[in-house]
Amino acid sequence: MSPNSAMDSHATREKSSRPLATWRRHHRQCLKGAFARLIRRPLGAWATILVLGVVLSLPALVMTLGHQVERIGELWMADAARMDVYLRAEASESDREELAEWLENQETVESLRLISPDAGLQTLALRLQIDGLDSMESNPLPWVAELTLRDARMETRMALAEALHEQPAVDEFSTGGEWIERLEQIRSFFDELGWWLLVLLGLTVIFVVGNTLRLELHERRREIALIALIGGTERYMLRPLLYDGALTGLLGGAIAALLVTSALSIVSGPVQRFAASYGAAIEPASDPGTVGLLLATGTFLGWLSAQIIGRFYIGRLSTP
Amino acid sequence: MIEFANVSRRYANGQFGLQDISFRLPTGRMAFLTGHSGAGKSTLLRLIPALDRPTSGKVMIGGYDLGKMGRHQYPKLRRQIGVVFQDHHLLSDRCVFDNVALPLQVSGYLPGDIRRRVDAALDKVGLRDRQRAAIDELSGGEQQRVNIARALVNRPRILLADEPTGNLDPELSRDIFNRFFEFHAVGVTVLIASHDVELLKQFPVPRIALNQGRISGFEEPDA
Repeated sequence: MSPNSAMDSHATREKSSRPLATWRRHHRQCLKGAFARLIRRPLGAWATILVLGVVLSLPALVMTLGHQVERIGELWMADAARMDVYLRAEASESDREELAEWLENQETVESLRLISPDAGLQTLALRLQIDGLDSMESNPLPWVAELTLRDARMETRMALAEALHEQPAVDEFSTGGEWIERLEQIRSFFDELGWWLLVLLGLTVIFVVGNTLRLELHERRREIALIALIGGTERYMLRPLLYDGALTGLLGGAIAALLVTSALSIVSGPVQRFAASYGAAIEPASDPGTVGLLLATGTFLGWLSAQIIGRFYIGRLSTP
Repeated sequence: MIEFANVSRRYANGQFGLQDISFRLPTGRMAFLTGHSGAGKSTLLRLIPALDRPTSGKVMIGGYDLGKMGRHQYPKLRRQIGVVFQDHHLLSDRCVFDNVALPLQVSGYLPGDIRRRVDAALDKVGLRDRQRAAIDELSGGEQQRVNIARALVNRPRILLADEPTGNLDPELSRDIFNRFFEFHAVGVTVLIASHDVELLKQFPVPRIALNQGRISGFEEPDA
C-alpha cells in the first residue's frame, strides 16, 4: 500500500468526476470569501487598500507627467519637422540635382525645396530689412536644401543626418532638434523615474499587503492547520489568500487611478490656461493605459505578496 | 497497518518526546495508547499523519515509509486518516454541517455527494437534526460527536483519537468509545490515546503503555 495506490480507498471512487468543475467552484468560493472578509474587516482592509492607493499613485503621477511632456513635445514637433542642408560652394549643378534626387528618394523626407544663394540672400535681406545686400560682389551664401520631414523624432533626424554625411555635395546641415532632444531626455527621465519608483514602491506594496495577509493567516491558523490535517493541499490552502491579496491589490490600484485622475483634473485648468498662452492646447488627463497599468500592477503585487507570505506560513503550518 | 520501528523524537531542547518505540498495529485492529500526561501519546499520534517527523527510526503506514514520502504526498495520506482531538478543533464560524463537510470539500467531492455523506455521518453520531446549529450552541459531548463525524465522513482507513473523552462525563465517554467500536467493526484501524485507565479497562482492547516517551508495556485485554 502506498499513498498513491492502496491509500486510494473506495471513497475516491465517489469523488468528483468533474475536477474542473470542483476547481472552478473553489475559485468562486475563494472570490466570494475574499469579498466577505473585506466587508467583515472594513477598517483594517481599507486602511491597507488606501495605503496601496497612495503608494501606487506616486509612480503613476510621475509617469503621467512624463506622458504629458511627451504630448507637449508631439504638439510642437509638428512645426519642427524641418531640416536645412547646406551644400558645398564647389558643388556643380549636376551634384545638386543628384543630391536633390537622392533626398527625394529618402523615406523620411516629405518634401524638398532648393534655395539658391541669390534667393537666400533676398530672403535674408527681407528678414533683416537691409538694403543693398544684392549689390555685394560675391554672394557668400551656399545652396540650401530645405527639407520637410515626415516626422520630427530624433531618431528620424539622426538617421538622415548619418546618411547626409556620406553625401559629397553636402557641406553641413542643421538638425534643429536640440530642444526636442532635451524634451525627449526630460520625458525619458520621468519615465525612468516612474519605473524605478514603481519597483521600489512595489516592494513596499508587497510588504504592506504581506503584513496584512500575515495577520489574516495568523487569525486563520487553526483553520489552516485543520485543513492540512484533513488532507488539504498547500494550493488549496493558499488559494483564498491569493484572492485576498489580488483583491486588495486591485482595489489599491483603483484608488491609485482615482487619485491620479483627481490630481490631473485639479491641475487641468491652470495647465490649459498656461498652454493656451503659448498657443498650444494641452488637456492633462490620465490615459487608459496608466489606469490599466495601475490596476494590473496592484493586482499582480497583491497576488505576489500572497504567494510569498502564503507559501512561507502555510508551509510552516501544514508540514513538519 | 501502522508500524513503528525504533522511532525516536528528540526536540530542539534535547529532550526526548519518544525513545526507541517499536510496535505494529495490523489493519482493521484497534488499540489504546495509555500513559500519564507527557508520556508521549500525542507525539506518537502526530507522527502517523506526518504532522511531525521522527528524529530516527521508521514510521510505516500500510507498508509505506513516511520518511520517504514527499511533501506533496501528505494530503493524500491524511485523507485516509481521521483524527479526533480532545479540544475538538471545530471551526466556530461555521455550522455543524459545514464543519463535517470540510474534509469532503477539501477532497473535491461534488455538492450532492457531500450532502449525502454528511447526512449519513451526522446520522451515525445522532446529530442530523442539529446540522444547521452553530458550534457554540452545542454541548461538549455534541461537539465531540461532530468531531467524530468529521473524522469519519471521508471513510478513512485509520482513525486516531487523542484524549477524545477528556472533558466528558463517564456516560458520554462510554458513548463516544462505543461509536469508535462501531467504526472498528467495519474494518477501520483505530488507535486511541487516553490516560483514563478506568474507562479503558471497560473495553477489551490491547493497550500500549507509554512512560516518559518509552513503551513500558503491552497489555492484552482480560479474557
